[in-house]
Amino acid sequence: MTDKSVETTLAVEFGMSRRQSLFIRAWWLVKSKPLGALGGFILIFAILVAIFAPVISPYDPEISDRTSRLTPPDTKHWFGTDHIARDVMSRVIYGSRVSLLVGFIAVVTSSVLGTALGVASAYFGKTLDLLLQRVVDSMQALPGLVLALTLMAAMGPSLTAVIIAITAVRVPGTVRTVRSVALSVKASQYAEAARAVGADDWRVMFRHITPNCMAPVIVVGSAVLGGAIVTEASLSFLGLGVPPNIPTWGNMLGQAQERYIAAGPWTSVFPGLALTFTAFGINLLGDALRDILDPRLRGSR
Amino acid sequence: MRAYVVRRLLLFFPTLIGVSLIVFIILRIVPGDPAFIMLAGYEGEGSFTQDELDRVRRRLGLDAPIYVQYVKWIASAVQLDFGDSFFTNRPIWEEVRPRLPLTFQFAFMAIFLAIAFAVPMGIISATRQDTWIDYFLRIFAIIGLAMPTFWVGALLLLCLSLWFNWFPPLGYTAPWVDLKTNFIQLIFPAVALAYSTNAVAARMTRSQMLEVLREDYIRTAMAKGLLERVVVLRHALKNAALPVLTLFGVQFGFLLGGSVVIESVFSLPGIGRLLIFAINTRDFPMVQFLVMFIAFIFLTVNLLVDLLYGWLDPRIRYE
Repeated sequence: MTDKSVETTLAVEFGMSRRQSLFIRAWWLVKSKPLGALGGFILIFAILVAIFAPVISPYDPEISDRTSRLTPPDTKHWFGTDHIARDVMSRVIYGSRVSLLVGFIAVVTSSVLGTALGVASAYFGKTLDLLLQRVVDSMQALPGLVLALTLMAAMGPSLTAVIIAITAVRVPGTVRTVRSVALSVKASQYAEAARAVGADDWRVMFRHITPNCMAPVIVVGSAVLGGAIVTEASLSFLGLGVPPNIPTWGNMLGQAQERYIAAGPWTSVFPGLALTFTAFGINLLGDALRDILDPRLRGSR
Repeated sequence: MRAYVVRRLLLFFPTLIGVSLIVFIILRIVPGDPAFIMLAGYEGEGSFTQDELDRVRRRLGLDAPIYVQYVKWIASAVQLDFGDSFFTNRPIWEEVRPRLPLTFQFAFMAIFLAIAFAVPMGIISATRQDTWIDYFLRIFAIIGLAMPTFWVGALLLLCLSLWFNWFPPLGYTAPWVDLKTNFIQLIFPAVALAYSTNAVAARMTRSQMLEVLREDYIRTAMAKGLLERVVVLRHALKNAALPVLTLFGVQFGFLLGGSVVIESVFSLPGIGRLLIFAINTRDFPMVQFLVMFIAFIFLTVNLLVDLLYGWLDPRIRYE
């Protein structure tokens, strides 16, 4: 988020200097947007858990302790054990890795692709724009999960396929948002001035239009992150996502659902809580980012 | 109004064709050789003879050039001939038809529940802005947004079995056979599915109401000495409700996607579960049909919502 236009927005809106330290800015966020800051802390917490999973998880997530199948939470296994006696807490901790990995890759790929296509669509217009917008319309005519399932049906279950499917679901929305912003930037005087002094197409697109589309891309990105994590969980829950031997929240929920939910509610409750808690934090952060970065929406809540 | 209807219809058909192209490309080109995957699985673990492979290719029409395959598919679909399921060898439409009442009934129950709670929640939140009840309702909504639909369903089932030692009867009984059983079977999945839609709609109703309540004509109505109840329900709600209406067009797609998962959680034999089954058995003709069918329903609902919106709000159709 070191992008100029975002910083400028922050600076102009809240009288902040670009040179102010990260710490001061973080403190400002806590004071003016407490819920957004809470969301940020939740997300950072989840990221730290994912990074340090091998250090903090009490057991190996794959190894089962045959003597204790489906034991309720106790001092030995805080979140209990699952149907083949693996430690649920360790699996929840490791599950955060896949969820966040899929989420962040989907954010990066859909932002890059969406921005490139959106800016190109707005800048060149004509046939390219018409064609791209019809493709976007058609892709959005399929409910997100149904499009993802169709792609999974074609590619077969794997981590790569999940990432491709989620990216495909999220790109059209990004293209549409970026295109509408890029259209207004393209018509602005400074873009015209840049062209007047002889800047070529690429320069105008990359140096002038794209940076001004970053604020909405960040806002959309936070929605993509939350949505991607839930979609990955839904696909895995249905047995059509990440292969079942990899611990993910969706896989755990799916396996718990099949047989063991009544016998061992903790096998479903804890991964579900982890998923909800993460999505909750991302939603809070996204709401705050939208309030700060998207002037058109400001004050509408 | 007629010009508006024509303009909106002109958008409907190209999009439908676009979807059919996308679905076709995904299911016929992405897998490389669909016939091979159907026989051998994604890892190529199954065994089969060359003869079987050729037979499947012929049956799916894979021996023809790709554009001929597409035109054939569209031509027969227009004549309502959707082909046979690869798994059961029965006509696809015969497999799908008995499952439709369930999915439709359950989607409409969910929509109804979502609206029935969201609109009053949004109104209360907006008229009591920044009081404890506003905060309570907003937190309720934001949790609804974060909880995945299928987990809400799983928790409902869990609570019922733990606290009441009771599970809703599995499967589906048509309402005209036994209304009570039908209701008990569908109410819990509908509630699970309605929760997140309700959250989105309640937030939207709240923000729309807050905007409308600041307008001059509301102040005038209040100044005339009308009761707050009358101003809110008669004057403000009419204008605030319109954007919420369009939201349901978009949310309907979310409901269709959500029903796929929820039907699996509650073992309901609807089209969502049929889709999962078709994917698991690599029944490509069935997957292709169901995905197109879902897109068709979604586009039609959106078209109807837009037409209704244009009819209710003259500003839209003259834009």
